[in-house]
Amino acid sequence: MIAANPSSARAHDRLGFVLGKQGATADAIDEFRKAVSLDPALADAQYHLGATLWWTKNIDAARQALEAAVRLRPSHAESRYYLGLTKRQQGDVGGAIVDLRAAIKSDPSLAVAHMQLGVALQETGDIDGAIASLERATTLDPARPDAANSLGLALMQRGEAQRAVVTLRRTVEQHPEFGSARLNLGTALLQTGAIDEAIAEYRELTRREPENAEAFYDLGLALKQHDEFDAAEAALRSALRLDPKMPEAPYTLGVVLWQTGRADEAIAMFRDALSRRAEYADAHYMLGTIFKQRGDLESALVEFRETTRLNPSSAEAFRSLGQTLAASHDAAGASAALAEADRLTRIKADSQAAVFAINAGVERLRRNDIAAAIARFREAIRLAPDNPQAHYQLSLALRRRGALADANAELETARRLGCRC
Amino acid sequence: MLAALAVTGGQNRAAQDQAPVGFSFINVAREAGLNAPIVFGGATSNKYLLETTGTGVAFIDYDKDGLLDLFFVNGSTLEGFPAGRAPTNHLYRNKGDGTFDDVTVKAGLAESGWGQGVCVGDVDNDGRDDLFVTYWGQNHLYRNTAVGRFEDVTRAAGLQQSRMRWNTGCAFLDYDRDGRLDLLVANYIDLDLATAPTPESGLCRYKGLQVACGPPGLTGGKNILYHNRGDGTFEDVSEKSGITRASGTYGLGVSTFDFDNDGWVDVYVANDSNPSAVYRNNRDGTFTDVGVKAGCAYSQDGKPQAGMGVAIGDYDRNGTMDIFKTNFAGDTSTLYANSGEGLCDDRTFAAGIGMNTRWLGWGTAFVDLDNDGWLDLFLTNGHVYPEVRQLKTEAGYAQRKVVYRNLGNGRFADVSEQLGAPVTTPKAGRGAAFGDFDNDGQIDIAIANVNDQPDLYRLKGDTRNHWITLKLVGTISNRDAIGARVRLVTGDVQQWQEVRGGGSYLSQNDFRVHFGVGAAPRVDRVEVRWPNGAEQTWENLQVDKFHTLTEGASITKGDSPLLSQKKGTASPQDARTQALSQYLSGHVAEAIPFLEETLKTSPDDSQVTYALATAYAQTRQPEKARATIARTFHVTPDSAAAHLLTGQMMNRLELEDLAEAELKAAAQMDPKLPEAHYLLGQIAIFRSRFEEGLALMRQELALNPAHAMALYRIGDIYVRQSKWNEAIDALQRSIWMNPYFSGPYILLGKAFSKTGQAGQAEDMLKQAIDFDPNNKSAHYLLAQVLQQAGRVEEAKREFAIAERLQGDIK
Repeated sequence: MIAANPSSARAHDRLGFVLGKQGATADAIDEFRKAVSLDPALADAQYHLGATLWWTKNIDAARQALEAAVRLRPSHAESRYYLGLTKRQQGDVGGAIVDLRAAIKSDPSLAVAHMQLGVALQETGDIDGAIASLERATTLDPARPDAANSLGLALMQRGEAQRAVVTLRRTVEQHPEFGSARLNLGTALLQTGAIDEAIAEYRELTRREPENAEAFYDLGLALKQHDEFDAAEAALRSALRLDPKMPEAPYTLGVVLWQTGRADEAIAMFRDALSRRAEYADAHYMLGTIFKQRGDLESALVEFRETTRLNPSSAEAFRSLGQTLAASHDAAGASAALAEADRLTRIKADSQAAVFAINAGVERLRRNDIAAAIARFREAIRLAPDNPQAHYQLSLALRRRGALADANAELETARRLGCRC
Repeated sequence: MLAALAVTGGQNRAAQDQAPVGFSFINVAREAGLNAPIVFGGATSNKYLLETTGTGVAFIDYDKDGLLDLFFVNGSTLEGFPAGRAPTNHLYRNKGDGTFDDVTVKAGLAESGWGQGVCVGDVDNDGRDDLFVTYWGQNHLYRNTAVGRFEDVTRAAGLQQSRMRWNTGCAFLDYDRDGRLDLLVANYIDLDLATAPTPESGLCRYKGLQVACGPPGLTGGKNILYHNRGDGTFEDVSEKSGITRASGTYGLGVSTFDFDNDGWVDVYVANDSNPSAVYRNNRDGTFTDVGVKAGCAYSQDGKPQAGMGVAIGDYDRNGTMDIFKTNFAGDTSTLYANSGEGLCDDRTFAAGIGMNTRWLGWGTAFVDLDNDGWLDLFLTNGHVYPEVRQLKTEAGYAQRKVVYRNLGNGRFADVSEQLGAPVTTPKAGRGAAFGDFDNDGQIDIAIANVNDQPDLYRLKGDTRNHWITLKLVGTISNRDAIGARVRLVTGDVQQWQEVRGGGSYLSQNDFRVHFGVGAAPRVDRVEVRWPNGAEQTWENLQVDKFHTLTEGASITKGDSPLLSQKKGTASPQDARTQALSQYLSGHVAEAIPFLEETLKTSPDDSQVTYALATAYAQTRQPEKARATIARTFHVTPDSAAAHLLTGQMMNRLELEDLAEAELKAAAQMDPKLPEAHYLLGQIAIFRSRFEEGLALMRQELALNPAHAMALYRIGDIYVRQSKWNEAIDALQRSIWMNPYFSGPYILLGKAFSKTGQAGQAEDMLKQAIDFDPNNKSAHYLLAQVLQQAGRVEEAKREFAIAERLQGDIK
């Protein structure tokens, strides 16, 4: 057909399609490129080019072609779907959500779009939206274990560990080889406090996948939580051996060793963790803690300073730094560090108190006790001036009292602080 | 080679860990008759943290029969109870045959409410231990009267609180060494149920479960320190003593101890979710929280922990008091070794305590369970949230105990599983008190469970090992000797213990000091440093016996001790100690020259001055006693004031003839001197010279018309003389001057009744019953009044109460 009409864009597109199906993706892409160069308005060719580029991990180029496809045919569900996928991979989650929603609008039965939308919403923190999309995906295509796996994760995020267990257990029963789902099942079981069952799942996964470092790591963590320190140590040592890059394994093993009174070995493990990830604040902190306890104040100071640099919101790091400086007779330094520790602690406590105050205010508002509600919201703002919810609730209370100007000002503040209200 | 050594070392440690424990427990609570359930919040779910914290328990020998009785604090529920059906605290009298009688009502302790903690102390040094019970709400101080009854003296003692507070752990202590017990009360949360969030708010979750909120996010309470004024009242000195200026809040368990071994009592407060407090006594009436600075406030890695209970003891036998604190589930308990240099060394992990993170700990103590001379550890556990029952493998709401055996090498071994039941029987435990209720030399454990009956673990110890138990009795120091420190020497082994206020979780342990001494056939030496700093030594004491060590006297049981005579005086401080020790040992006359010598170098030492004045008085040298007292109070020795002060002292020492002479001299020299006539009148009344007493009281009133006690004494005399109208007049005036003393109300009730004023009699007697619900005279008199008024049913009820109280007293 091409020989007969070498300038036929559609012919090149069809050839590319056939080549792509045969696995000759590079040749297929060549043909699609020829097609779009001959006829840039050929939507099929743009879509095929974009999708094939995406499959071959040419994300930037894929996005260009897919955007052209969508411009040409906005209601084409698949083009929208792939464009959404591409944008998400590029970090443009907001853009991805728009395209995935458009894909679903065009084809409400497109299960993969629901699934990807769910995952994208999960990334933005819209857990309710994510769960709704993922549930839709699993309903449309019950055979998709990845959707069920993502749903399980989202349910865990929403604190519905029990439902997550049901979803993930069903997935694991249907797909016993699906390691990621079994790993998540273990985590969900831990969240429900079913630690024995979690350990059983992790053990099963390590039996099925004896090279799965993450499985051994999670097993080690669960065993540690269960006060089975010897078994935890063995599992963590396996994780350590299997994945030379995983810093968490030596770190957690270090904690186990420290907790069981083997500080020397623990130091070696924390150093191992730092060799894997130099900016591992917790590992620096643990080293500092052990050095401090041993009276090696100089080394402890180095580690605590590094911890506070890497994690400036750690009250305990500043406190330990302050205590070590005091022991080193640096009164001024100690005073500054301890003051910072106190400040960070206070912020945390005040933030929690503010949440309780808002709750109490909402209760008062419900009972129509507006004056008391306003007092509680103002208290919340005093404790945590940057809490958008406090300002928003105050604006509602002020509005009910008729103080519209003040209410609007509070609403503005809430919005400025990130309230989507 | 190195590897082989390491393995051998490990085997040795394992072998040591697995050695037979040599002791066991039996739960004897049911056969002992400790059956009243402890009610505390919802059984399956809790709306507020208020419902989760449970109650404490105290060992107290309230009837002075040498057998430890038990007092369990009770709680309530959010729903409350119909009138008369609310659970009350319970006092169980130890009958000495392994069983107890519930004597709550006749002892006047049937109080309801959200009870929390309890502490014991002889606040008036009358030889009878008093009780203090804390509440979410108003605390209660109960004075132990002579007839097996307690009198609620809260209001009269000035311990009324003006706002709702969540009082928790408490401890009596003599922080200013004036010989009188002061009182520290920890506070948890300033909880307002109207504004506190509930689980339904969704704000508070534990492993996915909606649970009661807090304490983070709720306003923390401020601890309270009350100073004992010595006149039956207390002063709130929380602010001026620095007690309110602590690093953390959410206080729960409290124990006294001498952290820096300076002879002045310090206090540890276990704080929930906050740095815990070490209140160091500054020896000037103030405290400083040095917990953070000393490293005794946070976990080893600098995190605040959910402190609940606290145990104090010298587990490593280095002469310093170490701290053990129980914490939340998912965390370890904390063991702080006291370095002796004002610092805590967190030995949790090094000692093997880091092996347990699943239990949520409450009551705890260092206690030598096998009498091997090394302090072991006992922990009572139970989760805070009943909702965790829904979780499959959470350690559970009801949890087993944990027992750590001290291996004598700085490490502990968890021997809980080896001990089996009842240690491994899950219960929702909270408070635990430690004491030898059957006087067999083994420390038993009373446990307050939540929404359950209490437990009493009788220890069946290792009979191969010996023990000694010492009861310390203060004379110049507080009677319970709280704050005393004991050093015990057997061969090369030294052990240290203290008499402590509070302890464990919201509980009070046996004041008697118990030591396991292993195979030692005798105790070579016991040294006591009394709460006022004076030291005394006893030697060559028999083991497997109880000994009473009285301040300033010889041992009263066991072998005759030898008072150590310290040779030479290296410093004025040593000379002072020697002088006081000699005085306290009962060698009063011999002590006088040493005390005189000490005063020459330290003329402002009030304690030595007091001891010297007392010594002069006891040796009947009123002139010298007066001169010494005058010096203390900066008055002229031959002045009226000096005679009055000397008379007061003589009166306290029951040297009434000398007292009377001094007081008469005072009154003669200055007829307008307050108190002299009153004290003379008291002596006259005591000697049944009523007319003279009446005249003296009137003279006192002429000087001080507001003298409530003088009016009361006059009223009392008139009642005895059946001069009802005069009695009414005096007693009404007495009440007007001091409305918080119950005595005048009863006498007035009687006087009104006798004069046919039934209505007023009823009012007065009901007021008296309000003050003292178990006063049988008040009930009996009220019954008579009601009967005369034809109110037969009410009268019957009052008679029945009076009868019961009468029977109780029998």
